[in-house]
Amino acid sequence: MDTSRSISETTASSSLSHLVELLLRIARLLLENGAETRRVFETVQEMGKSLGVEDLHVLVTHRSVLITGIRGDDIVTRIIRVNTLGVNFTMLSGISRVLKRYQRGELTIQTVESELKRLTAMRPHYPRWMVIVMVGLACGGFSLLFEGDAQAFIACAIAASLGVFVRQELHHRAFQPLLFFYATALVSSLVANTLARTLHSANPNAALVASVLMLVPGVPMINAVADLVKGHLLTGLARATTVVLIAFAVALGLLTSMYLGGFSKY
Amino acid sequence: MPVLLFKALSAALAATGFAVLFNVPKRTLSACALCGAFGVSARILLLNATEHTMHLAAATLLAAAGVSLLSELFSRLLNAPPAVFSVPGVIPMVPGSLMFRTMVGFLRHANANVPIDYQALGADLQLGLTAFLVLMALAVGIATPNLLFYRRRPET
Repeated sequence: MDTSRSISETTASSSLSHLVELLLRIARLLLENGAETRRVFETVQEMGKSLGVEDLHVLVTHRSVLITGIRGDDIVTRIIRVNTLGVNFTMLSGISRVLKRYQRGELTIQTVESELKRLTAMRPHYPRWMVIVMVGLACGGFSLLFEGDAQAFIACAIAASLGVFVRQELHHRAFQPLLFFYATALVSSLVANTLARTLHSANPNAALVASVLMLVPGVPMINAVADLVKGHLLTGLARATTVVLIAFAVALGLLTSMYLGGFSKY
Repeated sequence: MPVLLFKALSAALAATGFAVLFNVPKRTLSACALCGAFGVSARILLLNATEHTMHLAAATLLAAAGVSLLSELFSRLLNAPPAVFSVPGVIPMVPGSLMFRTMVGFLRHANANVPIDYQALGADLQLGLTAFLVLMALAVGIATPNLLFYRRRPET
């Protein structure tokens, strides 16, 4: 019994459990880097089909993935935990390319695995200072969209850059996310408001509101509604809850800075 | 017209900044900027297209649908999933400021020491409802290609 199994495992190119593990790794990478639920389902199903797993059952929750694969008489069920929830579009793009290349026959299972390893080990495309500067400018752009003037733009850009720096530092030190959302909102809005008033901006509120916009959980928000619309109610609700919690943390930060700054109208 | 161009440029800046934050592949950065500019200018044009100003959520839905269709095109040209372009592209339209103003407003009302100000409460509720509708519109708008072209029957 034991010997026959070990023989079949060495002769078959890959065991079923190995394939299911691979699918789970792909699903986890997608979820951790900002993919909506339907995308996880479709990618796993397609990849499973091309890997020769006849029957595949997938369950996705917001913090775990469960896959059952059936091939012949073999049945394997595995579950994987999903840890951080971030956004990295290079990973999503990379995985979809790996899938396409595998389907065209350009990759083997071994090279798929090494490609996934390469993607995971890849450093971000943009150096840290560039993220700080660009997000500052982005929030400045938002203040212009809110009818802010040049002074509001400058105040907002500086405040938001500082906020991104604070967020990166707190994130690096593994603080609870809600805590660093609160702290970042507090710092950014306090700096934006003080600076905009010192520079005599005609519309300091544009700077104040725009300076915390890099804290809007845009991707989870869009994914939440996308999941809900496409019938994945549980993951959709879980994501929506996260979004509401983050928005509350940021609003509390804003409110605190308003009392600290001694102004109650905005 | 110059105002529109100015807003489009601001939106492009916002979209690019968030694209950097989302670590999109470098070759797609300028397309993300274009999607951001397109979305916001389409929304402004739609808002003013009719005699009565169009509802913000309706204009957002159409503009986001436009962005998502544009993203499909970029997706083929640049070999990346459409979300890489559509998500940063609609970020400038996310009702973040409405959301935070609503939240801050509600937190202010949650103060038992002051008499309730019904008018302000109503105004905050209105902001919140608008933000919610705009957000739904954005997400449905982004899903347009999926809903129109990539339909599939439930698996049996």
